Amino acid sequence: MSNVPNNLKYSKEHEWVRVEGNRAVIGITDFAQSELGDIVFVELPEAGADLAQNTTFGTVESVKTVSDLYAPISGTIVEVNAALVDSPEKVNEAPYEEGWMIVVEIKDAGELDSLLSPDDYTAYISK
Amino acid sequence: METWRLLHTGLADPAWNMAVDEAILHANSRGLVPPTVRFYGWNPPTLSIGYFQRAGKEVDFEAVRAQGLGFIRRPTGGRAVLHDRELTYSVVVPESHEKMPTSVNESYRVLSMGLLEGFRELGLRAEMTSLGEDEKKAGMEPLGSAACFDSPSWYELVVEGRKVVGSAQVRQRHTILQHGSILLDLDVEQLFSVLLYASERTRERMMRLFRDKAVSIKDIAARDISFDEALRAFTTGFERGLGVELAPGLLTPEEEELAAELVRTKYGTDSWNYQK
Repeated sequence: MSNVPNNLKYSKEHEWVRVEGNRAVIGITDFAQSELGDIVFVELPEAGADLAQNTTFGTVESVKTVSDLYAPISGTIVEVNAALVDSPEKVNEAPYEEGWMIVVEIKDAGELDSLLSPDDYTAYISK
Repeated sequence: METWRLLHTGLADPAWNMAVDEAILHANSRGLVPPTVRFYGWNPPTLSIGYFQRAGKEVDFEAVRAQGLGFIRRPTGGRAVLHDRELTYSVVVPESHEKMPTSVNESYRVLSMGLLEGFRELGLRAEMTSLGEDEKKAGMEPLGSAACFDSPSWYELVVEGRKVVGSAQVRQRHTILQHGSILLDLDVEQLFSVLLYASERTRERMMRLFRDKAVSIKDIAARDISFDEALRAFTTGFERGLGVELAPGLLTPEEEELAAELVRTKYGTDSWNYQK
């Protein structure tokens, strides 16, 4: 069973969002890392970049597969987890902790309502 | 039975080859074309590297030029491949297609059924193998070697334990592109002559390991199998392995146009090919 912490919100693209004031920490879910397999490279944008909801914000490589990552909400990137460049395995080992990817300044809090609750996400990945 | 599109685009230059695969992915993601199986080859023979590989660190460009080889960075993962006497395939299919499992690893297994049946059609016994964690940890997945065919991990097609097809994927726009090399013949010396190693001894050692792990159809069949013969066999193989009918088609004008644009703006540019 995939781990779906109940203090987070989720996108159908398998990203998680942890809201902290007007900022949001973003990463990929335990389900996503398990479906991707061993992650060997992570590519993330620079701080300062603007993201639009549902557009690509980075890529990962696993099992000789380069997969796009989709932004769950819009915002300006204020922090990037640079440690993942040298330790991409953190995404597999601790997707909700050291495997976090970016922090954005939330542009439109209304977009958070379009995300899934832990229960809805659990149901979504159990389909 | 579902009908997918079949494309033959012949031998072409590396930038166009990669641009066409991406153009098909775009067109399929927009619902403009059905899932597609494409067969192609390379002129000139070309060294390709994976999306995340560092060209400057891994490739001996002087040797590439001296041997008249093309060079391209792929949009897909994996490592270096020398595309010469091979049949190259690509498959484009939506991630949400009912035949596609969500797991990356499982999707290789499903798409590789087409390859497996293709070998059967040629009278060759290939099998699918999945290396477990133990074997990976035991060093079946050697570190520090840039060549793609030396890492038969996850689901791979092997004949007598040696890898005969190297495949890689990219997943963009909710669409899967998997492409790979079906080796008709293999020149190990040439591949290793264009990759950089810390020392000659390392090169020799990597080459020996590689010979134990990769093999071409010519070696297995003990006869020459032509591009056309392989093309017929793997067309039947993909139909049977994927349970679809392949209808010969052409690139659409939109795909042709996008491919030309991608050659100009991406695959034909130094900033793409030497970026990492």
